[in-house]
Amino acid sequence: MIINVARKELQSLFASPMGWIILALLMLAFGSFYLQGVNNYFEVMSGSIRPAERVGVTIFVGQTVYGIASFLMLFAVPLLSMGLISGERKSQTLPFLFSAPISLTEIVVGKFLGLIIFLGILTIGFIYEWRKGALEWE
Amino acid sequence: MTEATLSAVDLSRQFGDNFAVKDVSFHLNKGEVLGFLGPNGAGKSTTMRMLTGNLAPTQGCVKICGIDIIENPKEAKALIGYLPEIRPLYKEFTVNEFLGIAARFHKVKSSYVHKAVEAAKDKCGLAHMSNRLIENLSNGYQQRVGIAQAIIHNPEIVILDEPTVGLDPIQIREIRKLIKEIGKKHSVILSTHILPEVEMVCDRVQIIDKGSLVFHGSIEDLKQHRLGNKLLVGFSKPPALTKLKSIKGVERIEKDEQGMFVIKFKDKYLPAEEIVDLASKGGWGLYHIAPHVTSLEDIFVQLTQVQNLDNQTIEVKKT
Repeated sequence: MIINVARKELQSLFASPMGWIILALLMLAFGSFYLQGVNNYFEVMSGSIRPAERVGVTIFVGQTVYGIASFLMLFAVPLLSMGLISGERKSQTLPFLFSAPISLTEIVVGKFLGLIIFLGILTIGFIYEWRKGALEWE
Repeated sequence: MTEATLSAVDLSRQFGDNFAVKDVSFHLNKGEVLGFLGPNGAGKSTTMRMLTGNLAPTQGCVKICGIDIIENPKEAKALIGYLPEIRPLYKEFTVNEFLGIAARFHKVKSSYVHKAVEAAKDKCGLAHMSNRLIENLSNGYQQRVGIAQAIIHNPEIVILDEPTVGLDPIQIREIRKLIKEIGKKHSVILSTHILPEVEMVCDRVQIIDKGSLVFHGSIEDLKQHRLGNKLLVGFSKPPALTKLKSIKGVERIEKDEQGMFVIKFKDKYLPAEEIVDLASKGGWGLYHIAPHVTSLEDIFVQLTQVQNLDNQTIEVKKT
């Protein structure tokens, strides 16, 4: 049942251009910070001569990207999630959920899961990185 | 007789100090269409919201096929299809998508979802609208989607709250036909404030006023109440009252504001023929004769007055 609620939530996010636009903007922001991170890495590393000062590219780029990601998400997540229940209320669709054989917990957890999966799409790039061996920390 | 699929016992709901619904008890038999009639603000929608588990009653309980909706909401809700007064439609979806979601939410097996959607669309005449966005559908078709959503999981009980409000006459007729169709397989509760609608669609009727039931009985009882044994007669040259009174079976004669006579007669008598006969002989100038129909408002007034005397729900017997 939770899966069904999550599925509905995802469907609903992608039913309007909004979902796609939000994902694209986030992707654009993270992508450009990633590129910037890689650029900076080479600049900084060519400046440091002693081997002790050198760090791996993943650590360096990761810091730039996720530093900014946590800040961006601070705004993006509330914007996406604040309408999940109040929006249903506003468009008078809450009775549809309440009269279906789903408990309140299932509705809330389902909606949460739906949003997690939606934002999880942003991390799909990791599959590529992982395949290329970029996630090796040693 | 038939088993009750839904029973409500002493249902009450308080908003602040106000009782929106007070001590309402009734039951619904299998395969029956029950009309829920009342003026605006009488507590129809509140009752329906309590029946479907959307609103917790202050007192009393609702049992769906013997399952208490407060103790076992999931099992009970699976047996109900509900269309609230304001259609709960996700307008960003197409008809197919929305009905698919509704089916999965109501625990239709995933292998059967497609079939259920097709069946519901067929029943509601939506087959050619499958891939249209709900937002772009007309009012009448949106209402059909609402009804389709309520019957998609083949529930025991279908509860429709004012399903014909805001539709044009042709759509109303189609929706009524649809409800009749649904009533053959499911038990239906239908709320409305339009009396003729109840007469056309329902088997049994309940009238609610100011939160309490003031009448419940079969549609024949209501018709009896509405038509009564009364004739409305108009004469351009009215005769003496005694002459009319002497007609066999006539019980009482009243004069209304337009100068017409309301003639009440006893059971099993129909003095119409005799009146016409006498009128033509006596040259009374008969220009109107028809059964006198009491309006809904009059029935309400009658019922609420009687209720004030007894201060409890009455079963109106055939007079």
